[in-house]
Amino acid sequence: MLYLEIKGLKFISKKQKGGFCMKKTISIIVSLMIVILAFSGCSTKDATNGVKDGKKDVGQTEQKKDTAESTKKTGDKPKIKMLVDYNPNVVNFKTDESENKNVIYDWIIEKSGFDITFEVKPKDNPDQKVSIIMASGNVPDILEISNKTMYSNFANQGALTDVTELVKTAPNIQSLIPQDSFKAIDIKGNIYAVPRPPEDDGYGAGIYARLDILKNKGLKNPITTDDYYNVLKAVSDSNKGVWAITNNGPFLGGFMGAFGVATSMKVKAGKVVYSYTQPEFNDYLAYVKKLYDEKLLDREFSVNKGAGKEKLISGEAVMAFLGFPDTKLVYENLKTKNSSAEVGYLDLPKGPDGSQGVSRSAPVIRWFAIPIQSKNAEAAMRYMDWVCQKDVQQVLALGFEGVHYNMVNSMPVQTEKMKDITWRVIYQRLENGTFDVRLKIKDYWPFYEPTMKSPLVENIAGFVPAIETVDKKANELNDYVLEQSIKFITGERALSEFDAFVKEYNVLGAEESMKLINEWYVEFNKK
Amino acid sequence: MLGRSRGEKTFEVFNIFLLILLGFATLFPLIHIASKSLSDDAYVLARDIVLLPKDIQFEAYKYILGNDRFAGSFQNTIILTFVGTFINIMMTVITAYPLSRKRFHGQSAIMVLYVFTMFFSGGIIPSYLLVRNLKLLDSIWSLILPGSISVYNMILIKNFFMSVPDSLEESAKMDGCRHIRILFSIFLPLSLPAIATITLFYAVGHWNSYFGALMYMSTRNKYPLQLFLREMLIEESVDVVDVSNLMDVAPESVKAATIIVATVPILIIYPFLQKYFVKGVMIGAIKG
Amino acid sequence: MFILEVKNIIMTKRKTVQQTSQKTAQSTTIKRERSFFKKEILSNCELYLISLPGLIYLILFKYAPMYGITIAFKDFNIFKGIIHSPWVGFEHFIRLFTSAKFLQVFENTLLISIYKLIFTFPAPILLALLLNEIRRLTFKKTIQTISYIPHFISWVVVSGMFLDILSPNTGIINRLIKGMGLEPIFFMADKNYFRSVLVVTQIWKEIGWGAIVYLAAIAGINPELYEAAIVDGAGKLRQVWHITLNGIKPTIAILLLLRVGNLLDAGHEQILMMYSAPVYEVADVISTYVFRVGLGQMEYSFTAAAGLFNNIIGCALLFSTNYIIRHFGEQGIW
Repeated sequence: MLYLEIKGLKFISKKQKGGFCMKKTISIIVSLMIVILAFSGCSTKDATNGVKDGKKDVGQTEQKKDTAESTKKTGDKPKIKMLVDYNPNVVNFKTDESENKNVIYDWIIEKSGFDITFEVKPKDNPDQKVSIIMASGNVPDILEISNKTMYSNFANQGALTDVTELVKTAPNIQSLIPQDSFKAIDIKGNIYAVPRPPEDDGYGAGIYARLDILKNKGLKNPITTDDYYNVLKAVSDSNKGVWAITNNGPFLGGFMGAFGVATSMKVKAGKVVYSYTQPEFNDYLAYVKKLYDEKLLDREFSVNKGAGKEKLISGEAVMAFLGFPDTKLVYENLKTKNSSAEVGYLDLPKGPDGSQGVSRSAPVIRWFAIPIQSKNAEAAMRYMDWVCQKDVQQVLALGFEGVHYNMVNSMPVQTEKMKDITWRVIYQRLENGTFDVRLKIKDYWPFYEPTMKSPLVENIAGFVPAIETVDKKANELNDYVLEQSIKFITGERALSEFDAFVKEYNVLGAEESMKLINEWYVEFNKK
Repeated sequence: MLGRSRGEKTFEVFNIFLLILLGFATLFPLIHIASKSLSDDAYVLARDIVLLPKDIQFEAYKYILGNDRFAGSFQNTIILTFVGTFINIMMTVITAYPLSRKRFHGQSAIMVLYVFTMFFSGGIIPSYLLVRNLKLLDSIWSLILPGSISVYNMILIKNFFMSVPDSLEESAKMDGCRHIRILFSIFLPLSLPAIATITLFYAVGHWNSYFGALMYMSTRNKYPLQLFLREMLIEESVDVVDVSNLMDVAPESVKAATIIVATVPILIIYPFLQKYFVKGVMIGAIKG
Repeated sequence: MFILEVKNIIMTKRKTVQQTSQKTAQSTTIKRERSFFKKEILSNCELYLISLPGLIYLILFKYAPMYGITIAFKDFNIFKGIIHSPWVGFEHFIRLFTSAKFLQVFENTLLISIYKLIFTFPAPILLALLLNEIRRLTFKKTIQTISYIPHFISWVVVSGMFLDILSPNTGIINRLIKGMGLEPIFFMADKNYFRSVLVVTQIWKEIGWGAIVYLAAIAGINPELYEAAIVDGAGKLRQVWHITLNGIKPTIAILLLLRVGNLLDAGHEQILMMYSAPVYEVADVISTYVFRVGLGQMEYSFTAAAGLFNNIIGCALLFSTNYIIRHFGEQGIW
C-alpha cells in the first residue's frame, strides 16, 4: 500500500519538466569546452609545429646543422637516446640495476665517449608503442626496427634521416656489415638505416624424431619422400592415438623443400613467381593429403599452435619439425618423462626430382634508423660505428674476461657471474660474429649444429622491398593459401580444383602483386 | 519455514545440484592451472597434468617471487588499485548524482555527452599526446586519471540513485539540506550494494590493467603487476633467427604460476565485499 | 532496530510534508511560485557544481582527443601526425566494404553477436535467481566466489584449455563421446560446432561475474514483498516471477540496453585466441579480419575505419533502442 503511494508520487514528479535551464547548461558546457580545448589544443599544436619545422629542414641543410651542433658539444659527451627491441632477459635486472645502471652500461659510457640512454620496447605491441613515440615527436636518436614494412613506411613518409652519405663515414660498420645488406635496404638509391644481417643463415630447425621407435621397428633413417612415407606408415598407430608426424598448420617444414616450394616465391625462367601457383605445390599437397588420409599426419594439424614439442614429449607424435630451442626442451624433458626414449634429427626429405632444403634467411633482420627529428644524427652514427669494433663486440657479447668468462684453450667458458649479466643482450644489437660462441656457452650447440647439414634454398622474397600494393594484399593472400591448403589436405576441396585455386588466388591480388615484383626484379637483376 | 511443499523441496535439491556442478566446472580450471604451476616441466609439456600435480617443485614460484622486480610491481599495483578505485568511486558518484535528479535541467544533454564517449574515442595517439602534454608520462597518474569515470558504471549508479524514492530527497530539502549532504548522508548508504558492485569492477579493472602502463610507462620498475608477469612469461616459439632471445630459465610451469599469482589475490577480495551485498540492508525497510 | 527508527522518521516526515503542502496551498500562488523558482535555481546551481569535476574530466580526457577519429578518413603519416596527414575521405571504408570477405565477415559478426546475446545475456540472470534461492549462506557465498573465477583467466589461457578438452584425439569430451560409441567431433575445426563453442565458453567464463550485478539488485528488493506474497498464497515460481524478476527489471533493462550498444562486439580476443584457418568462414568477424589483414602492416587508418564502422552501428543501435524503451514508458539511459 505504502509502496504504491510512493510509486504514485514518483509518477507525478516525472511529469514535471522545465526547459528554462537548458540554454544555461549548454552555454556552460560550451564555455568549458572552449577553455579546456584551448589548453590542450595549444600543446598539441606545439608537437605538430615541431614536426613541421623538422620537415622543412630535410636534406643537406639538416645534416650540416647537426654537425655544427655536435661539434659544439665535443667538450662534454654528446647525449643520445636509443630505443631497442624487447628481450626477455630484462626481467633479470637486480633491484639496484636497470637498463641505464649496471656494470656493462657504465663501461659503455666510459669507453664510448657518449652519454647514451637506453629504453627497451615493451613486450606486447612494440610496433604500436614505436608508432606512438614517433608520432609524438619524443623520438630516440637510434631506433631499432625489426619489421621491414615499418622501415619502408617510415622512410617513405619522410620520418627517417637519409644516411646514405653518413654511413660511408663509418669504417667499422662498413667492415662488419656486408654490402649485400645495404643493397637490400636501398630505397630509390638512398639508405635510411644501418642494416643488420641475420646471425644464422637459415639453419636451426629440422625434423626431430623418436629414433628409438624407428630402431624398434628395424627402420633405417629415411631420406627420400618415399622413404618417409614408408617409415611414417610403419610407426603410426592411430588406434593407440600415436601420430607418425605432427605439425603446426599445413606447411610441413622440410617437406615443402622436397617439392621445391620451400620459399613463398621463386625465380623460374628469369621471372619471379609465387610458389603456390606452380604445379610443384600441387604435388606437395597431394603428398600431404596422402599422409592425412592414411592417418599418418596428426588430425589436429590445422589447429595446432606450437603443440609439436608437447606431443613429442607425451608420445603422441613420433616426429615433428622443430627449432633448436624446442629440440633442446624435448630432449631434456623426455629424459624425465621417458628415460628409454631416444631423440635426434633426421635428414630433410629429398623429393622425386632431388629437391631438398629450407629457405635461406632474409638478408636483413634489423634496421637501425635515425628518426629525422633527432638532432644528433652524426653522434648516433658514430656511436653505432664504435659498437661495431671487434673488442667492443667481445665485451658486449661475453662480458669482462676474468670476471664473467675465462679463456680455456682459446674457447670462452662462462663463470658463475655470467648469469648476472644476461640482460647485456640489449646492448649487443648490432653485433655479429659471436653467434656460435654464445650457443656453445648455453649448451644449445649440440642442437643447432646437426641442422647445418640441411641445404639452403635461395629466397628471392628476402630481397623484395616493401611495395605498398603488395604489402597491403600480403596477409590476405597468405590467409587464402592457408585456408585452401587445409581444405585440399583434409579433402574438403578436391585436388582436381587446384587450377581453379590458382585462378582465384591470382584474381584476389596475386597476379597484380607479382607484376609489381617482377618490375622490381628487372631493375634488381641489372645491378 | 511453514510447510514447504514437495515441489519446493525437489526444486531446492535440483538447484543445489546444478550449482555444485557449476562450481566444479568453474573451479576445475584454477586447480588445473595451480597443479601445472607446481609440477615438473616434463609432465606439463606432456599434458599429463589433469587435477593433481606431478613431481611437485616450486621452481616456477621461486622464479617469479624471487625476482627483484616482483615486490616492486606488486606494490605498484596495490597503490594503483587503492588510490585509483577511490578516485573512481568519488568521481562516479558525484557525476551520477546530479544526473539522477529529475529537477536537474540539462540532464538529458549531459547524459548524451557521456554515452557518446562510450562509442567514440580519439584513439591512442591523441590520448598519448594529451598525457604527455599534461606531463603525466611515466607516472602513476597516467593510469588513474584518464579512466576516472567508466560511463557504464556511472549509468549503473545513476539508475540505482533514481530508484530511491523522491520523498527522501523532498523531506531532506525541507529540512534545509544541501545536495551534497543529501548525497552523502542518504543516497550513499542506501546504494551500498551498487557502490560495492562498482567498487569491485573498478578495483578489478585496476588490478588487471596493463595497457595503460604499456603505453605511458617507460621505466620498468614502475610497471604494475600484470605487465611484470607478462614479461616473466616465456614465449612458446622462440625466434630461431635471433638467438639473443634465449633465456636460461624456461619452465612451462612459469606460465601457470603467473596466472595463479595474478589471480589469487583478487579472488580474496570478493568475500570481504560480500557483506555489502547482503539482502535487505536498510533499503527494504525504507521503501516500505 | 535502526531500521524501525528510520521507518518512523520517514513516516513523520511524510506527515509533515503533507501538512506543509496543505498549508502552503492556502497562501498566495504567486509568492509560492517565486520562492519555488528561487529554490530551483539554487538547487540546480549546486547540482551543476557537483557535476563540474565529471564534466571537466569528460571534456579533457574524452573530447579533447576526439579529433583522432579523423584518422579513419586520412592517410596516416607518422611524421606529419594526425592533424597534418592528408585526407582521403572514405577510401578506407570503401576498401573495407569492397573486400572479398566483407559480407561473410559482417554476417559472422551479426550472427555470433546475436547468438551470444540470446544465450549469454540471460545466463547470469538465471544464476542470480538460483543463487538467491539458496538459504545456506556459506554454500551461497562459496559457489558465488568460485563461479566468477573464470572471468579472471585470460582468453589466451582459456583457449589453450579448451583446445585440450575438446581435442578429437585426447580430449575428455571426445573420450566420453567415443565411449558412447559415436565418432569424435573436432569441435575447434568444425564449422558446424565452432560458433556453439564460442557461445558456451563465453557463458562459462562470464556467468559468475555477470551475476554479481543482478545479485546486488536483488539485494535491494523489499523482503516484505515476499512475505506479503506468501500470505497471498503465491508459490515459489510466482514469487520469483512477480517479485524478484520484477524487482530487478530496471537493472535488466539498463544492462540489456548497454549490451545492445555493444552488439557488434562479437568477442575479439576470444575469437582471435580460439579460431584457426579451418573455421575462418564461420568465425571471422570484422575486428579479427581487419586485425589479420593489417598484421604487421601498421595500417592505423584502415583499422580505425573498421573500428569506427563498428562503433557507429553500436551507437545507432543504442540510441534507437533507448528511444523505443522510453516510448514504452520505461526508464531509458536518459
